[in-house]
Order: sequence, then structure tokens, then C-alpha cells
Amino acid sequence: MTAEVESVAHQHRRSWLRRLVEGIALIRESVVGMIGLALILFWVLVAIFADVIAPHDPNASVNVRFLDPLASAPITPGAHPQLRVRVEGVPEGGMLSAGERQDDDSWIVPGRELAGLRITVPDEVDGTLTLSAEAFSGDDRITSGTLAFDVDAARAAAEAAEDEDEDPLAAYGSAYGQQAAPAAEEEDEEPALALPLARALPERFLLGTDHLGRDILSRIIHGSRTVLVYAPLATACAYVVGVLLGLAAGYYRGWVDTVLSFVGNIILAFPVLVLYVITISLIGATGLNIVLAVTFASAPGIMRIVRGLTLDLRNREYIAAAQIRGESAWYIMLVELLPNARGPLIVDACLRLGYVTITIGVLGFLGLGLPPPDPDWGGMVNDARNNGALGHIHTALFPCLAISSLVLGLNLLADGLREISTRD
Amino acid sequence: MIALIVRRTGLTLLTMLVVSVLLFLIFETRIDSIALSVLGPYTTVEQREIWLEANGYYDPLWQRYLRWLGNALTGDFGTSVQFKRPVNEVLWPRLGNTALLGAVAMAVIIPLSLLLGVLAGMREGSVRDRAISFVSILTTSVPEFASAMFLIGIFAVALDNLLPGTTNVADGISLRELILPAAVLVLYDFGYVARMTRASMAEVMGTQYIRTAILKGLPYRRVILRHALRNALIPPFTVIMLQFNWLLSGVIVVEVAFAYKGFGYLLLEAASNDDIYVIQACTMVAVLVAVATQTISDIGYGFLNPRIRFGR
Repeated sequence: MTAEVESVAHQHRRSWLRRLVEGIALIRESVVGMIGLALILFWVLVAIFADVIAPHDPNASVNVRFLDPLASAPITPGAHPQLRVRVEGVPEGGMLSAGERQDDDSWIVPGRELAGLRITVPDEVDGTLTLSAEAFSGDDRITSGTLAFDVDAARAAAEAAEDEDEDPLAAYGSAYGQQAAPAAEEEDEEPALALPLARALPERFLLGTDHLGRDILSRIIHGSRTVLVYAPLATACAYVVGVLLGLAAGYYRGWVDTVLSFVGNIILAFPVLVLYVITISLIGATGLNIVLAVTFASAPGIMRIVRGLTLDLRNREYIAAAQIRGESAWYIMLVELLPNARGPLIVDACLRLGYVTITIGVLGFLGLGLPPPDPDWGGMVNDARNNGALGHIHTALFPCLAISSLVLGLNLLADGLREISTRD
Repeated sequence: MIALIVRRTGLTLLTMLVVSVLLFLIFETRIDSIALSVLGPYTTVEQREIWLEANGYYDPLWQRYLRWLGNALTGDFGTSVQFKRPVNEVLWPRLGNTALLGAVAMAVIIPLSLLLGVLAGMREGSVRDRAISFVSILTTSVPEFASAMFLIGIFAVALDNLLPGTTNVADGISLRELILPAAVLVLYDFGYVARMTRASMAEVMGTQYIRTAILKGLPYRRVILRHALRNALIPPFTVIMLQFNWLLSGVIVVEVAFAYKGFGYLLLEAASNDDIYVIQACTMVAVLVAVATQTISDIGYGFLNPRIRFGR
């Protein structure tokens, strides 16, 4: 007899996995929700397969290659955002088109000025000119090599090509217009020989490059990771804190409720962004601190919702039954109350995830976001704005489109979920 | 009703008091860093100590707090480190600029969102309802900085400076310069108010007294204007008042995006330059506006809703 009852109970209680899948499948009843889910899935897939999809390294500047006609040691210093190259052996009277001469007569050239670098050779020099170049990323030496040029041959070629105004190097300037340095022609009547030293490797950039010559498409693709890691993480943290406090306030009532609600109202009295600006400027902008700040600012709102739901549910009979069974207070809150409050909370979580996504973008936009160089969408817009947004508006538009589509997906999903939950 | 007003006002004052204590504790307890940020990094320890002594920073904390609060209440927030001028002289003109921006935005948001919300809520589930709902979700999904960039891209770049993408406050703010910043605030905000209005309108349209009014043969226009709107517009009033809190967040982004010299820009500048007196003043003003509008909304709700007005 008891065995039979158990088996019947078992049939009714399907596995949690199956119920979860069936619950998620309910979204197919709402067209809007399906569109939202598709947008979110798109960005999740992009984030997962970012390494495969992204055509370039997101933090790499345009790849630069040293030209070395005698091919003694071709070096390609790769591309790092903090790239700088030290060139030794520039002859007396000669100069590079970019960078600065150091006290020891070597030259330091910042990575972003490398493409289109030229050397002006004084007339006294002939034969073979030998330079040595070392590339550094920060303080780490990446690569080094010797560059050799046949000055006589180059001079002869330059004379032959004097009629042609066309500068073959201009074509290689990167998408951001790192043009070849102004030739020395204007200064002297007798043109000094200018040899091209390095040029950007011709590459295709679907959406162009930003002010440091980094591929925008790759940065958007990799930026989806940043946002899809930090936004859910921060929202989850805020939910853990907010749900626990809200349950406590609603279940215990009395002074616990009074104190928690008062503290929550104080935090909610601050305009959200004012709160973020103050906290982030106090504790510094790192990934962890952003999660902390979002938790601090969002938990009171979640607490308020959970408190309301708990006050509504706490007089139900199953709560009384659990109390009579002698269950502990937290068991009742977490096992009896919380699952029954999940409907509104899931919708709210979806909306809040959208807000947090916007928040992380806004922090990046205000320069309070994640530290560089890893890409985040808001930070990309900030970079574009700081470096002439009006002229290169495209560098700002695509990250804006990306974040808008993700938030739209979340809001549409929330709307679909609400539609389904109010239907039955 | 009077009890409600007294209670709400008292709560507002208490909140402001707690916020002032918090701000004081956050910014004024590390006196070494205050001296450093006020006097600059090229001062000796002795100079800083003399300055701290002269300005009473070695007094007990509660004395300093009371003095600070007294000054703040009389409108004296100290001297800005970055502008070398009293905070007041910097803050009030900036606040005026922001108020202008906010007023223009609100003047569009309120009629637009109420109209759309009522139109959508009149027939729940109709094509018009779905279209308005979708548009409002779409516009709320675009963060302010993104719509600012889109608008700048369209009006300032693509249409060749039809509307300016930045503001030049030095010679006063012209209407042309206000359009884009205000449009960003409107785009981000109106959807939310419209959806709230729609929900409230839809609820009212489902009540029995509306059904009765329709069934007894009143013209539809009269049912909407006389019967439905009166009750349907009470909740949106609360929502609109709460938008001031959101607007204060929104203006920070918009002002940065358009280089609009207002309160939000000032706060961000102060935060990045460690200008603590300006941060304190800005935060106090922002919280005051937020709390005051919420109080007005609560009291106003009591006035508008007869159940509360006659209830107690």
C-alpha cells in the first residue's frame, strides 16, 4: 500500500530538469519573448565563440612590419596596445619621422606612430645603412632585429621616381589615417633621402579601426564577453543579497523590517548614477568593484520587491503547516516562501539584467568602467568620444548598436515572460 | 491627511540627515587626504598640518559635523578645489542649466507618454496597443549614451550640423543646442511612463463602472474622457514624480555626451578631480531633489486618490 502511494507520488513529481526545460519552452507562446530570447542567444553564442569568430586580436593595434630590403632580419613586432620600438644607429644628421631622440642617440617610437615610419638619411651617408630595432610592450622586449638598407640603390631609385608625385606609402596608412610623415621636400631645395622603415600590413577591417588602430569588430565580439560575464554576475550578487534581506524583512517583520527598510530607503534615495559615481570613484574601477557597486545599489530595490511578496505569502496555510512541523525560519523562507515568489522575481531579474547591462555600459562611457585594454562596449564609445567622435562616429555607433540589441533582447524576454505569467 | 503630510515630511528630513552623516563620514574622516587634495601634492606635511589646524580639522568629529551641517544648511559648501571659487558660485549656475534641460525634457515626456499610454491602454491587445508597447520597449532599451551617439551621428554628422552635437554654454544655451540632449532624455524615459500609464488605463478599462458606462450607451469619447481618465491618471502621477530621480541619473550621461555644462558634468568632473566639497554639495542637492519629489508624489497621491483622502 505504501509502496503504491510512493510510486504515484513519483509519477507526479517529474525531474527538475524536465520541468525546467518545459518552463523555458513556455516562452514559445510569446512572439515578443522569442525575439528577445533569440537576441540574447545570439550574443551568448558570440561571447562563447569569440575566439573563433573575431577576425583579429581585440587588443592588437594594426600589425606593423619593418621593411628591410636586404632581408637581414625582418621583424614584425606583432601588435600590442603599449607597443614602443627603440631604434639604434640613426646616423648623425638623420632623423625619424616619428618618435623622439633619446640622450643616447637612440630613438623611441610609440607603437601607434609606427606605421609609415620613415628615416631621413643625410647626404653624407652612403653604402649600407644598418639599424637595430627592438620592440617593447610595456617593459617586456617582444622582438628585435637588424635592419639593413642599401642607401645608394635607394637614392638612385628616388631620383628615377622623382617625377612621380604619387607616394606609394600613403596607400598603406591604416584606416585611421596614420599617414606617411611629411616628406622633407619643403625644408630643403635638395631633397634629403627618406627611406620607408615600416608600414602597416594591409588587412581588412570590416567595421574599421579605433584610435589605436584596433579592429572594432573584434573588440565588439570580445566585448560581449565582458558584458555577459559582469552583468549576470553583478545581478546574481544583488539578487542573493536582496532576496535574503527581503525574506528576513518580510518574514520577521517588526524591528528587522523597520531597520532594513529604512537603510534600503536611504540607498534608494540616491539617484542611481550619483551613487555609482561616488562609490566607484571611492573604491576604484575594477571588475570586482563594479560588481560590488551594482550589488550595493540594486539590492535595496530587490529587497523591497521580495519583502512585498513575502508579506503577501507568509499567511498562507502551507507556511503555517511548516511552522507547526517545526521547520526553522530560514528553511521556511528559502524552501517554502521563495519558490512561490519566483514568478514576479524572474520577470524582474530579466529587466534588472537589462538595467545592469546599461549601467556597466554607462560606467564605461563615463570612464569609470573596467580598466583598459580589455574591450567593453561603453568604454569603446568613451574612447571614440574622447578621440574625435564627430569625425569617426562609426567607431562609436557599432558598440552602441551591440549594447542596445542585447538590452532590447532582455527587455523583450521580460515582456514575453510577463505576458505568459499573467495569462494563466 | 495632515498626519500623512507631517509623517512624510519628517521622514524626508530624517533621510536627509542620515545622508548628510553618511557623506560627512565618507569624505571628511580622512583629513590627511582632504589637506592633500585642497593644498595640492607639492606641500610639506607641516603646511598641511597648519592648514588642518587653522580650519579646525583637529576638533572632535561631532563638533566638526555640526559645524559642517550648519554651513551646509546656510548654503555654504566650502571652496571648490578645482575652480578655486566657492562651491555655491559654481553649483547654482550649473544646476540652473540642468533644470532647464530637465524642464524641456519633462515638458515633452509628460504629455507624450500620457497620450501614448492612454491610447495603448484603451483597447488592450489591439494592434495600436502592441505597436506602442513595442516602440516603448525599443526606446527604453537604448542606453542614453547610445541614443546620444545615434542622434549626434544623424543630426550633427550625417545631416551636416543641422543640430549641434555639443553645447557651448559660454554664450548662453540656445534652443537648438537643447534639442538633442533633451531628445535623448525623452527617448529613454517616455517608454517607461507610457507603459505604466498603459497598465493603469488597461486596468481601469476592465472595471465594471466603465462597462456599465459603455452599456448604458454613453458616447465612447465621453466614457474615456470623463470616467476612465480620472482614475487612470492617478498612478502615472506617482510614476512621473519618481522620474525626477531617474532624470538626475540620466542628465549625468547626457551632459557628458553633449559637453553640456550642468550639474551632472560638474559631479563627474569633481569625482575625477577629488574635489570633495563639490561632490558633497552635488550629492546633497541630488538626494534632496529625489527625496522631495518622492514626498510630493506620496502626498499628491493622497490628494488625488479619494480612498486615501477621505479614508483617514
